[in-house]
Amino acid sequence: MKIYQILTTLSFGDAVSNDCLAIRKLLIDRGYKTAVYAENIDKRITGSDISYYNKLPKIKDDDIILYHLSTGTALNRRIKDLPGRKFVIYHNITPPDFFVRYSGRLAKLCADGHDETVALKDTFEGGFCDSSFNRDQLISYGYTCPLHVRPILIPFEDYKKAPDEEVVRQMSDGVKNILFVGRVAPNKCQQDLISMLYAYRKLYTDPVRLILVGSSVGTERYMARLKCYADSLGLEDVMFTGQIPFAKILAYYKTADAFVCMSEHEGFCVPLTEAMSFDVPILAYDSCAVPETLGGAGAVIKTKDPAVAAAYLHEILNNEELRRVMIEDQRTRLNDFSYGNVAERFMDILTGFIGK
Amino acid sequence: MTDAVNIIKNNIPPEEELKGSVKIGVNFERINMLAGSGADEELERVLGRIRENHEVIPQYRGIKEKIGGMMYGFYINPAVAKQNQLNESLAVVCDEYDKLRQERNALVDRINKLQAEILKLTQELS
Repeated sequence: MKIYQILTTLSFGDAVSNDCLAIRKLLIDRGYKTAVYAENIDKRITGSDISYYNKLPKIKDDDIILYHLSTGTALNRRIKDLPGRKFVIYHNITPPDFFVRYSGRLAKLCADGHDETVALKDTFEGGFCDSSFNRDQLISYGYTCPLHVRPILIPFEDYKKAPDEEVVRQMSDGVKNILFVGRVAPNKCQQDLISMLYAYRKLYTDPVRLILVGSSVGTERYMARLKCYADSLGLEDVMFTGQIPFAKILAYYKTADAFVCMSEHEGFCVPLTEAMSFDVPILAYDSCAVPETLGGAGAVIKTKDPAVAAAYLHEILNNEELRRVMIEDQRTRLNDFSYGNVAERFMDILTGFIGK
Repeated sequence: MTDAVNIIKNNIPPEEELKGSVKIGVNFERINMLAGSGADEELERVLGRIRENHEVIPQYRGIKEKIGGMMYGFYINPAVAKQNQLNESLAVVCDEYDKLRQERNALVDRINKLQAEILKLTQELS
């Protein structure tokens, strides 16, 4: 019996790929024979057990397939016909409506992903879901197989690497840093963060800057609109970093005074846990899996009104006692996502599924 | 866990008071994307490089050219002269581009202001 992980793209640094690689390591550590097959593989990721999907060997009936489902792809149609025992690892698919105005290609990809996920409802023996939100979504699509919630495996050890010194120096100039990390995408609603910054400037005088870390590849039109919005509001301190090396991301987390998330669609939201690991107090909009990932930590608001968000942010930035309490709560919550805890949860579910 | 939201609520004005207290004159959904385009930044970089290389300093290709340059005080390398001519034309294009972009930005500002006025008037009427 061999365990195959199959996914569309094994890239460098994204949540799904990190999850896949962490599961691979876990399975190897536990003595399982395992391999990863993907249609696209980042050249920086190497390993004798990592290969392209077209090199997938003949799978035996008792082999296990763990299929990472996160987007629309031809693989979603092929997976049905593979032999072996199939289990889904569901990372959620962004509703296409978010992308219609900005990218026909991404909107179609998400629409196809949704349809293909529905079509796969009778394909799997069971599933792993990053959150209850994701599980409920699969149930609403007609999935009747056993579905278990287990958080994404996050390699927190990597966050202890050295941050980029130059960025740390630049960001330590006395201006408070408001951070959001995530792809520049309409579902992440970066425009609401810009509105919040505008309101902050109107209501308070302490200097703050907004740092938006994330790639805008494929969503250039949305990015252009965001830049135009910030320009129109006369906000000069909005930084769009684009895709940056990991050491720079670490530097932005290290120097952040608050992490704010206004996203309207998240299946888990890994950056929330990253902010927790850097002791950055979190302010987040109550949407999808966000409150579940926060698990009572952070401050969750039910409105997007910029003045309300700015008032919350001002309090978080300036109330030392509140910051201390929030950081303590976040540390407690972070423990639930520790590699050991999540790895055990994953293995419990897996052995429950495969019986060994 | 501590309810951070409740702690904050006790220290800030009531949400009802805060809601809508900051008016944002620009509607993100209706924003005109002619301005602030990422393409502008890329073009700016290209134009910057062209401007930097506006004049190519002649590099003498051999001892004969060097002696000629020293004796007569000048020497024109045909390839360099051609490149300089080309750069001159590119500089004209750059200037024209800058002029047109300024005009376009002024028009976009005007459109945005008018759109904001229309929005305001529509809200007043309704």
